[in-house]
Amino acid sequence: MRLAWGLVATMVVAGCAASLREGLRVREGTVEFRWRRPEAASVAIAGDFNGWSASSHAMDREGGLWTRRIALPPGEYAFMYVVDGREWLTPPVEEKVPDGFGGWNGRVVVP
Amino acid sequence: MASGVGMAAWSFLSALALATMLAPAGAAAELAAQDRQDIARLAESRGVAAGEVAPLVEEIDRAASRGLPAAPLANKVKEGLAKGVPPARVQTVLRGLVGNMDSAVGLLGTVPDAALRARAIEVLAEALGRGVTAEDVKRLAQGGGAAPAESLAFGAKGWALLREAGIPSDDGVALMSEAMRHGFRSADLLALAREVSRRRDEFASGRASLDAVREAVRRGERPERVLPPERVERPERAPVVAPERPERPPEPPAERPDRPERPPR
Repeated sequence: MRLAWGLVATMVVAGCAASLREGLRVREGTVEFRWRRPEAASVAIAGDFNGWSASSHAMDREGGLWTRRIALPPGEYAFMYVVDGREWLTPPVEEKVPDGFGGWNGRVVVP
Repeated sequence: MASGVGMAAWSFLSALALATMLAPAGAAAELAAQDRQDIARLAESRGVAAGEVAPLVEEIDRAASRGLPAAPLANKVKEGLAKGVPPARVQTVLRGLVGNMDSAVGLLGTVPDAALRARAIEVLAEALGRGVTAEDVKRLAQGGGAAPAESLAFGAKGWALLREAGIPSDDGVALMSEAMRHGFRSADLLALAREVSRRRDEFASGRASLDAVREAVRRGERPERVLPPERVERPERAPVVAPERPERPPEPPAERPDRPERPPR
């Protein structure tokens, strides 16, 4: 019995830890962007899927994380995070590609 | 409130006027009208004068008139303008991209299907921009047998990913060629390259072998089965310092270098 409760507690803690983690989750054509930037007043995602608009895909604050889910057709997408409408930052993701202008874009692949 | 509405109307009319100025006279527009409007709107929002952005659109129109895909070129211009990059710098990058597309056309040869051709040109141009050489592409074409142009483009991009992961040229080109020859789809070629890149430490340390992966491809294994099962190393004690990865290219900066912001008009 004690073992069962221990397992449940471990799963709950692991689940909470996962929900607090930043990064990308791609599932069934939807990308979930999660980024830790507690000091930002606003964060938006700008990429080639929205014509690099710094305002069309604002993220929502969830505690210290900024999150946003976007449905995307299969393909590869370059993106950056825009903080407070003016600061363009490279996302902390596995695959980054040079943008040609001296910076780096994050890349997400939707299978 | 009234002044806010007035400002919004003025911004809209300014963007519309700029889009009208950017529209080509006479000849049918090669660049999609929406892209033209988006570029005008972005330029206006960044305080870029019409005279500065017009050469960018003309560059795209010239490239499109030669049969190069306009959409990725427009995307690069939008990206640069949105990030506040000076138009002259955007034009330099745009010309580099056009040059890579021209090279891609020469390497791909004839591709009858227009959509496939545009995609292949875009992907191969990206690979060339990431350090793949024309010589590499020729080696891929020779090794890939009768693989279609799209496979050649994606094989080159796969090689770009492997190259960035520090995989030696002969091994990387041989693996992509083998996969192309055995009919790997475009997505499979990239997935294979990404997986090898992600597990580069296993290949560098000898725990996994690229020769074995290539042999699995040659045997006709399905794409998802050509890599050996991943072995997670569990050290008895956690290392104090993360191991160095000398073969990996330098990590990009976490944040973009400072770039002076254009004050909004």
